[in-house]
Amino acid sequence: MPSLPNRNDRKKRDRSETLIIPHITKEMLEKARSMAEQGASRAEIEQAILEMQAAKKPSAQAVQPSAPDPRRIVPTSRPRLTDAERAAMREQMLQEQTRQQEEQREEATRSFPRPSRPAPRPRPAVRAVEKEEPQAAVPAAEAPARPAPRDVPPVRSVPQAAPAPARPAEKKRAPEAPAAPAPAAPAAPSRHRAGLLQSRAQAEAELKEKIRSDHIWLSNPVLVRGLGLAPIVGAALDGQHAGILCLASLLLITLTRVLAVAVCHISRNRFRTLIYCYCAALLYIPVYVLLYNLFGSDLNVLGIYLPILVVEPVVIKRMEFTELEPLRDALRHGFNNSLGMCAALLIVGCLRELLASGTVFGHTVLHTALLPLAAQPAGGFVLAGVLAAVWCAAANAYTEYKQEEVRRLYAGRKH
Amino acid sequence: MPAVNIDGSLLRGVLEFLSYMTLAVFAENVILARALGVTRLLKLVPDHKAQVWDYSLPFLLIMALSAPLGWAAHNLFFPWLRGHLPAGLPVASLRPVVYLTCAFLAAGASWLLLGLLPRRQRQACRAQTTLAGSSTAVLGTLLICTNQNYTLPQSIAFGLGSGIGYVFIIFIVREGRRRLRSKDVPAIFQGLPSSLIYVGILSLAIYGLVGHAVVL
Repeated sequence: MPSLPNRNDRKKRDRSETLIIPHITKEMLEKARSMAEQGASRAEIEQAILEMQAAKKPSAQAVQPSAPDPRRIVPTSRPRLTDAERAAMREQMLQEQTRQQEEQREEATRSFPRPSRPAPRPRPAVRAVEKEEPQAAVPAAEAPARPAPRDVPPVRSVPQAAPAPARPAEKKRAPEAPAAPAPAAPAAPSRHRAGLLQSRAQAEAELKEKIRSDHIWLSNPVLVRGLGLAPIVGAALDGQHAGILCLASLLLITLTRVLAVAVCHISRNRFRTLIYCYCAALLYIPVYVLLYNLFGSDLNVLGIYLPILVVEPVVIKRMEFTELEPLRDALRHGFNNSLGMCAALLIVGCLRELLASGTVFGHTVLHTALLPLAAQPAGGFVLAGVLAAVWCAAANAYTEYKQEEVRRLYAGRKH
Repeated sequence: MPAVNIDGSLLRGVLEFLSYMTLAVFAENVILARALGVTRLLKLVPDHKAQVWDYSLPFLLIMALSAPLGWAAHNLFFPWLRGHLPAGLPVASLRPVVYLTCAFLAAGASWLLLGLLPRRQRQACRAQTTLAGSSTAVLGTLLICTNQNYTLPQSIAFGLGSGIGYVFIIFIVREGRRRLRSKDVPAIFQGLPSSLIYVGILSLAIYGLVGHAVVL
């Protein structure tokens, strides 16, 4: 490592002094250097530079009034307005507020969730403020809360030399602003930017929601979330068993969710565990009668796996969530969950039957049993694990593809 | 001699109790042989160690206490109920309701018994009581005891053994899952798939030990 010179070791160096001179110019610096080379003392150099600065001041003061910077904002007192002007401004603010409220209401009721191109809003005053004041670039939702600053700042932006002509122009323009369509064009870029921001956030949220609510494929209750494994591993030994379990699951999961949510609405979302379990157990009675009439004594081959569906996590998992969903959502989610469960049951059941005995739904496909262990719980675990790995890999690849698509769509945007 | 007979029957009873318990712990383990409670196991294992016991303690109590209630329901309540049911309603359709009631009664008794614990553990365990009571392992064990027509001591031994077997597997899977976080495991097998395959291999070991599949 190279040894760096010690900056504090001043004994071995030439003696030097540092002068701090405010507002120094190039001439002053050269003068100070030449005087230092000639051996002038510090006090002499400072004195000479002070003289130079004093000689330059009158000329600078003389220049300032002759060439005022038009961009400079000089704070002035608020202009006094007449009663008529105030009434006009108040009326304009009220119109602006009502119009924005209507727009918000329209956006809320609109079915299309991406208001990236909202209706044109003629706001010339706001546009002017947006250029000068960073505060003006607030979201549209906050706009009604403070309409007054939007009208006042243009007055501030006018140079001090001529404040009076600006006020009448503002005064005249203000009441006409809501009806004038022309100023909408310059306001479009900022609105467009706000819309895109909303769209990107919404697009990502939509994608997440889509992934979360896709209970059949991307968020399968069995192969992705690991629910309902007992019937899959223990009872879905062949296609027929899987079919009976499918029907039972379809009825139990959907109806239990709807009934339990309805009861939870009555009980104010208390005793959820008891409600979900007993709803499932009570619904099991008609479901069992129906299945018994359809399949007869074939139900006995399922053993304990049919009754334990009433406490299977895929049926009662929702009890762990504190949010109480509407009945319509409960029906939709319950049905989707049951479809996902059915898909997993049928795939695992048919695959196990094929591997264990070479048949699918009793029809011979292979003449040799490739993996007799698939009929055992151990084979069921392994097969479910492998299937979950493949399923999750495919679902993750699809999810990443969709996320990349959203990222590319908004790649050119700064936010 | 009567004393010898009493001692012999007592010893036989204890041996029978222990053998049923061992059977439930290893050969007929609720998780490895019947895949009951796997979902809860896979959610519980990544949690902290304290939470495992917070769940396991009420679970053991519920398994032990629900077994005699299930035996009573099977041998006393259902025979009485058969005479009062309409013709089109099979008794089997009411089994979940009845056994679920047994499980929740046991959960209530466990909730009271957990009051003997210190305050911190008591609150943590009581929070898990309802989840433990609504486990597939509890209802499944009650149904197995019913299907096998176990006696009262056998039911209690099998219930207690099933609970111990469940907790035993929790710790085994917990250790296995810790090792399965290795980078050598392919990414697509990380998480649920590797855990399922690991439980499958354990199940295969039990299957190799027993030599036959259990009655489902």
